[in-house]
Amino acid sequence: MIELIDVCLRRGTFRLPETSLKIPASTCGVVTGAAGAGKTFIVEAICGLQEIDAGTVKLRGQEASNMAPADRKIGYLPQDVVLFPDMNVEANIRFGLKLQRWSKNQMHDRIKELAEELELEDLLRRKPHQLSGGQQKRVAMARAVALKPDIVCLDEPFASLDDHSQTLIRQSLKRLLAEQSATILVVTHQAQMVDGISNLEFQI
Amino acid sequence: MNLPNRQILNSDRRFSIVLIVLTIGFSAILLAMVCANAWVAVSDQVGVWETLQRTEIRQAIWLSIGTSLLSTVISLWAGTGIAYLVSRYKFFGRRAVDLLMDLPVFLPPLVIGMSLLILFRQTPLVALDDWLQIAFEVPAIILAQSIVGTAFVYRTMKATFDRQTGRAEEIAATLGATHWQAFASVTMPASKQGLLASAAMAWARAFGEFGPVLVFAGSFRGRTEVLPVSIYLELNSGNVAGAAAISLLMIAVAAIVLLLVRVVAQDRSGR
Repeated sequence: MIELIDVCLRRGTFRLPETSLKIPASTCGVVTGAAGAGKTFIVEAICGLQEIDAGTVKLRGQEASNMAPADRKIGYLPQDVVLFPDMNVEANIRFGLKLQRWSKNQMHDRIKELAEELELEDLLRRKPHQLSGGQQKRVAMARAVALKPDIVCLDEPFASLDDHSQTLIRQSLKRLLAEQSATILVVTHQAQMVDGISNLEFQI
Repeated sequence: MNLPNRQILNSDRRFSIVLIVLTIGFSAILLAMVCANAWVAVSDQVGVWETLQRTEIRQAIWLSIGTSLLSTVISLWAGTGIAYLVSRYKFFGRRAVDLLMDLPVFLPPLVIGMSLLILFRQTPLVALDDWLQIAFEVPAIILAQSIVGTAFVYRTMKATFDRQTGRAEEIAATLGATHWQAFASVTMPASKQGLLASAAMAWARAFGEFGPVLVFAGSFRGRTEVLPVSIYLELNSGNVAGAAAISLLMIAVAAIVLLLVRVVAQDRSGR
């Protein structure tokens, strides 16, 4: 479960008004709103990348407002993708698995599985700068869900993507819900992309 | 890198000529300096050979290489760490630290040596110096070289870290990385060009450091004699050919290292 209770934050001249939302476990909620409304701030506050000025962030029913990002165990796909530039695609996906000390065989199998799902098999040896925007986003998606997190936050996962990449990300979302029972928050200005996946919409 | 259109480059001939004259003039001075050394050294080949064969000069070669490498490692550690702190954290005194780190670059070298000498011999630190034997010993050479080297590393690495947004570290944190793990496995690999440039500058500066070394470590033959000090001692004893030979040796070593760094940097940027 993801829950925000009266969360408020200020950054310079920007002020996010008191925001509350609740996404029950194993469901997908979508946050929509105009550009500059603070959607990304909400995702980053949930992931622990933005300190909130007031309110409460709850994850899995537990207070998490002051929890370090690493302890929140959230799969996060940022809007700006941010692949690690000196690692190839495989190393990017492997990054979290290695930190969590997965065995070599487990890592190999998981990377293979994700590469098949998101059609990255031929790209595993490439560096991020050798990929198109759509390919980069698919790699970032694979990296975000590699650890099989029970909470996943996706910031504009469909923006600037070709139709095929959008379809692959949608399929991946469906799989997260069906096979991992993950709780998913999607921030997007293309709410139609999550039709049939999300039944909760929050407008900010 | 994309060069401007040739027509633009040729559109103002006077401007182009000034640039070309500047480049040729300065390059000629640099080449003439190297040739002058070579000419003096070659004109007295026996003197040169004798100088380079002497035990104290051979010791100076190894001492220069050893101390400059060690001080480069120290400078890289200290300069990178401080640069990261100043680049990423907001804290009271941040600007003062930033200013202070530039000081060794702007201070006259003799003043650095003098300040180190006063610090270790004229303050309560003298007890520490008596115990550790720093002043007028090899550690004094390393310390003097590291002070300036750290400043060079700091400036280059801070510019490198400032160019990065820190977003990659944040994403690493969401994947379970501690701050150290994010720094070591994400930030530093992305900073290797800066690190290489810093290392080259710190080493070059350490290898040629003279003023602070002379004042703080002294010019004891065979004990604290690094190659720049050897040149000074040879000149003092009237052996100009010997001094030119050592200069030539230092130019050769510096040129080899410079070439190596360029090759490695090009290799990495090409990947």
